[in-house]
Amino acid sequence: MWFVDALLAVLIAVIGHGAFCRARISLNVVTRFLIVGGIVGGCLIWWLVQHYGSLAPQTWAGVLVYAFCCELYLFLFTLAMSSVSANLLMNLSRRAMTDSDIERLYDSRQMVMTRLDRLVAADLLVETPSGLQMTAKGLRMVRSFNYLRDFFRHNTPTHNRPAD
Amino acid sequence: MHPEFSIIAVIGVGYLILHLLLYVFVLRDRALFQTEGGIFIYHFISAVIFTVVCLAAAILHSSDSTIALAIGLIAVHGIYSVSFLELWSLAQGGYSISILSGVGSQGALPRSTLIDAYACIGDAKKGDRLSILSRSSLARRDGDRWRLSARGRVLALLLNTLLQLAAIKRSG
Repeated sequence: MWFVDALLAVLIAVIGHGAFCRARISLNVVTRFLIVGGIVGGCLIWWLVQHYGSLAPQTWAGVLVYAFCCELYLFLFTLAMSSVSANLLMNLSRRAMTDSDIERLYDSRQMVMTRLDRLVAADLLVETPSGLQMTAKGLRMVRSFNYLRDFFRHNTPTHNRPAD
Repeated sequence: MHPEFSIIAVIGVGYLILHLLLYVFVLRDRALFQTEGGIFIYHFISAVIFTVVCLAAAILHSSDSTIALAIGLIAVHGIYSVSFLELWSLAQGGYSISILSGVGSQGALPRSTLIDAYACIGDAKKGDRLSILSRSSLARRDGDRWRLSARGRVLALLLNTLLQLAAIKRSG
């Protein structure tokens, strides 16, 4: 039953997230899920502790299954949201496309403009009289990214610098 | 909690810590584990073996508590692997991170300069994406058009469902 409770909680969190995403509140989609998921998770913990006790394996297992499913859902919808390849896949599901259709739909300049707008909206870049500049938050993100890149031994991307 | 369960939980978590330490101190400098396929296989094989061992042990003891312990440990492995693979992919550097890093290294740049510079990277990525979709048997060229395979249609349906659930209108 604890396993069914955990899966039911995931279903409630996903449906709740869907409803919350339709509300006109200025929160990004990930934050909305963290809020909904957190509330549902809290309720699940309370429910499992009431039925099995705080130290019971069933309680811990239920919470861990819920946490794993939530993480997987978060990963999948952020992938669907942000991945250009995922977007291409979804467009191809609607209709077969020629190379020139794809060229028009994924105009590189438009994609860069969209990303610049998102980076400004996320307060990672700021518009100044001399152009776009990284904010302190953007600098922290780049440093974290560089640390992660070194940790995982990724090569420095050849496209990190604009072409001269 | 029964002391035996605590010991089993510690062994399970200990295994995951060893799995991570093996990567950090031995494997991450090897070429195979610097590729997406290699790192995915490292986690996938571990997850399969871990799952089989946990479930076999649970079935042998056959109680609700032992099954719960086994599934809990499997979920911990799932959380560990998904988190690791997410960070690994993030560190590879997506388009936005590349742009951000470029601005960071060059200082303030006019929007038009950035667009000109990074548009050419986007052109290269376009070709890569189509060849990846083709190699993964998700799409194929049919005459002058690209079409999805059956597998690609299933994946696209899942992605569309996720976006509709979360009321996300624009992606990519």
